[in-house]
Amino acid sequence: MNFLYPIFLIGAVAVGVPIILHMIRRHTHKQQLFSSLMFLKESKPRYQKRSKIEHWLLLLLRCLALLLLALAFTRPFFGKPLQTMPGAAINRKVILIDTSASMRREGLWPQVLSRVNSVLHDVEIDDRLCVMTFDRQPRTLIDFESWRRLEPTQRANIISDQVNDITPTWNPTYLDQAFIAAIRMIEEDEIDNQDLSIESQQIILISDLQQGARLDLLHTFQWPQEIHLVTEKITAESTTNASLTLLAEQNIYSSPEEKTQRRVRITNSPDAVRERFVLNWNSPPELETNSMEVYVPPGQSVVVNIPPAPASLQQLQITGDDHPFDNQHFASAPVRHQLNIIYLGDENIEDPDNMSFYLQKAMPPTRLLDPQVRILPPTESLENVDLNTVGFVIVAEELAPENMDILKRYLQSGKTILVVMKTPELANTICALTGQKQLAAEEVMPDNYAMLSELDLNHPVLKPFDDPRYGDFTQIHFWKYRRLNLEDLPDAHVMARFDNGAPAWLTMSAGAGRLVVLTSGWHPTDSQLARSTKFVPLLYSILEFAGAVRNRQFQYFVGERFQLPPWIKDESSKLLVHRPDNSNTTLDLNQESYFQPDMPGFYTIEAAQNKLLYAVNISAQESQITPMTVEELETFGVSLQPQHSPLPDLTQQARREKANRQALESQQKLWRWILLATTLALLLETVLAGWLSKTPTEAQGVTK
Amino acid sequence: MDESTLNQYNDLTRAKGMITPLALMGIKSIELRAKMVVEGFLRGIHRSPFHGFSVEFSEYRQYIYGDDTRHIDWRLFARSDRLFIKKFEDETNLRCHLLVDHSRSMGYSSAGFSKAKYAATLAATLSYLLFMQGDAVGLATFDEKINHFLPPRNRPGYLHRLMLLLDKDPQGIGTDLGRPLKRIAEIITRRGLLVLISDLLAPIDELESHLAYLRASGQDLIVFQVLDPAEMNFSFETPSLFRDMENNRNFYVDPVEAKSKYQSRLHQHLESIQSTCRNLGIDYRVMATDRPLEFALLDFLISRARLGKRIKQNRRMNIRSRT
Repeated sequence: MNFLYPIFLIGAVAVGVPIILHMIRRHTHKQQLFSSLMFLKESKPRYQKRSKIEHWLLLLLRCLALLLLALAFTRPFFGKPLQTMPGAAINRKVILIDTSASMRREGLWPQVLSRVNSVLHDVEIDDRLCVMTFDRQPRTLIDFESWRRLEPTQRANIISDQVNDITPTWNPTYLDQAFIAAIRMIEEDEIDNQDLSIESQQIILISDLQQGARLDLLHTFQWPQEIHLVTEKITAESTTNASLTLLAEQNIYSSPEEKTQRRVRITNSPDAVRERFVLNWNSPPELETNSMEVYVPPGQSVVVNIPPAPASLQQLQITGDDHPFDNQHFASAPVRHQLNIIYLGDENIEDPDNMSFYLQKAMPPTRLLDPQVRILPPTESLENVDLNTVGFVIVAEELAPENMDILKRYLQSGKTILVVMKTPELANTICALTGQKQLAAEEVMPDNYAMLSELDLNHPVLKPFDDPRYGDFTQIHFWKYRRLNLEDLPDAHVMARFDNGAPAWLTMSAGAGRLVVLTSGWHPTDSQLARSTKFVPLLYSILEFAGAVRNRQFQYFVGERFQLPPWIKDESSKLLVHRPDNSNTTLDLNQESYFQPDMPGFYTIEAAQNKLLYAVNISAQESQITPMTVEELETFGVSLQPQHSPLPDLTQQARREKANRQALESQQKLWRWILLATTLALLLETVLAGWLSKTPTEAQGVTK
Repeated sequence: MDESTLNQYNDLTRAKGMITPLALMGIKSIELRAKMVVEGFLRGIHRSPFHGFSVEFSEYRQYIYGDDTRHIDWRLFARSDRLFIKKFEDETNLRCHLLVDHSRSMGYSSAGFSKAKYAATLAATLSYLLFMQGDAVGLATFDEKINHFLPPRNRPGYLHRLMLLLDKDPQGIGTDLGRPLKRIAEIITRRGLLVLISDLLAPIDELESHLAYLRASGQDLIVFQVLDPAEMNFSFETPSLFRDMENNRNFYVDPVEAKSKYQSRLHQHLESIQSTCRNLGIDYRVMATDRPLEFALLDFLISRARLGKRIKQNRRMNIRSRT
């Protein structure tokens, strides 16, 4: 039995009063009527102390009445747990467990398990709970309805077991997405269960709250004020953490012969206690590499040059800090790409009046690209040319009919041809390549010059110029151009027009491939384009648009999805993936067209003929393990609960417990029965006392 | 009461089974109670050696010229050659006054009925007996003064009226024996019998003078002092606040401690009354309320018999002196 107000049990002390009154009687108050007092004299009052109790039953009844009265005031109730308490206030909680790479640090994950158990312990039977994990993406471990369906006594164990099975991933921390997902869960549950009386809604974040956690989305998110964030911060004992990042090649256009050193940025945590670290390539023993000592003061970063790795697979590592989870960096050696370009025009490449002259100058060989420009007269047959190895074709003069079919097949393979209309006759070539019946073209020589206007900077070719700094093409003057009748080209997309409205640059589809048409050449006779700063970027942009030059991504990160090259699907749809942990998986391109690595290291994706090598690292931000303060979250509008300390928790728990006890007591209302019993005891006492007081009257006379 | 007489009566009660006061007081009608006592008593007395008693007595005076000759007692003339006139029957009948105490102290009871009830029943019993013999009975109730007074009569219905007055509860306050007795002496001019029924729990300083005055005026007096057994034995045990029923005075009394002194003083009080009565030739009886009323009736008759002897002796002495 429990009591709502146990303080009233003190009232049970009053049970001593009748006992004392029974044991000690000061003097009699009994009156005896007598016919005459003429023969009597007054006696001295005699105090009586009775050492034995005369009326046990009477005493017991009086004591019982007092005890029952005190008991009724304590409002007793039986403390059986309420399975359903209609109208009782409940809490809605979402536990967010951080499983990002920073949680792999030593000693953190056991703390997470302990905190989860602690939070589960505080969850009431009627509370609604949802458990989510998050790193790059939020994942629901158990939702509100699943929690409700679980056996109440087994809930904590089941959740605890499920959390025990989780291990931290290598993914970065997207805290903003996790918050938003948790709030969505709460709001959806609120909509589904509108009849519940909710006392509070909480998101309990169990995380190391590292500085590297992303909160960008919270800038544009309105945090609901009725949902409070409770942080269970996990802290590591040691604080020194050095991270390294292999920076991009400083000059990818440098000559292939130039031996460039790799640049590595090393960052030390602000609260580090050490600043000396050792940097070296993790290479096979047979390859000698030198270690490099690096001094990085706490909170600073240092960029050092390190000789290139001896092997193609480059694994850079740093030692000397407390947390090894981010001490390795994987990189693949840059591969030089050969680009074969065929220029169909009868030109002297050495003549600066020709377009080929500027083309050659614009595409020098570099460390990553090896352009091979081949000048072919348009009358020469392309039968002997292996067009499969040709990345890009430029047509500057009207083609011979036999070459027309070859280039059509080239286009059918999805390739792109650049047509530069040095003469209006090239319109016939365009008609032939695109299958148009006719295309009218005429030579136009403006009075002064023509300028470009109405540039579609959203077009992929002009996208690099979509910036006020780079988008000014007015400095380029065009002396002459070829006017095309756009009515003959219904599918053409005009990227740029001249200031008189005539199309300047166009793209159009030709079979499976595409044509890029420039109605004016870049050689000085036609325009100033070749001598402008826009020429080389435009040329490379067209090459990229054609797929001839690929901007190979330099770094890949865990959790990122990246598209595989389209050609690999032509080889095979099912690819074998060798993972860094030496396990193999199969990637079915019919189901997924992307690849998403889940751990750092080297991935090898094998197709039928070729293989792709990817070096995957953990996100650099994940290395920023310095904990952020909770107040920083407030700047994003997060509604924080008072810091999770034992005192408010106890207060809240006490309040909940009190509410539960009051509800139990009001359901049972035992005090009514106790009051009834008290009344019965008092009635019995009255009857018994009356009988006892009447008995001596008959023996001794009239008693008042 | 003579011890031999009491023994004889005890034998009688054992033989007949006498009704106890408690049982008697259970009868609501006072008239019925009186009738039961008297008739029961008389039935027993017919077999007893006390038959021949009579409450009647006659009075003679010398014949004077002019008296009715029918009233001459010729038998006496034959014996003594003197003419004596015998008074008329009604004139010779007893005139009895019952003087009943109605003070508050008479309301005390420890045995289920009060002294007042016992005294009223006693008075009713005597009235009934006297009425049966044709005597005139009057009644006066008093506390500090005479409250009610019924002159002696013997006519139909008068007994009932008398009984009604007796049946009233005591309404008085204190007891003052002096004033009522003085007043009675003033009221009663003719000789007769005066029966005083009271607990006499009052100072008796003036009692002797008033009784002597009544006695001198030719009244025969019988005093019944009615006391409760608790008053006589003082059988209390619990220390209590004792309250006087008459003046409401109260004080704390430890009965164990006070019992001996109480009994001593009570005994002294009773002795004083008895001594006074003896000196004045008054019959005095103490009646405890647990004592059967037949004893009171017996005492009354014995007292009357003794009175009758005395009258006869006086008459003989008078006749001798005249002859």
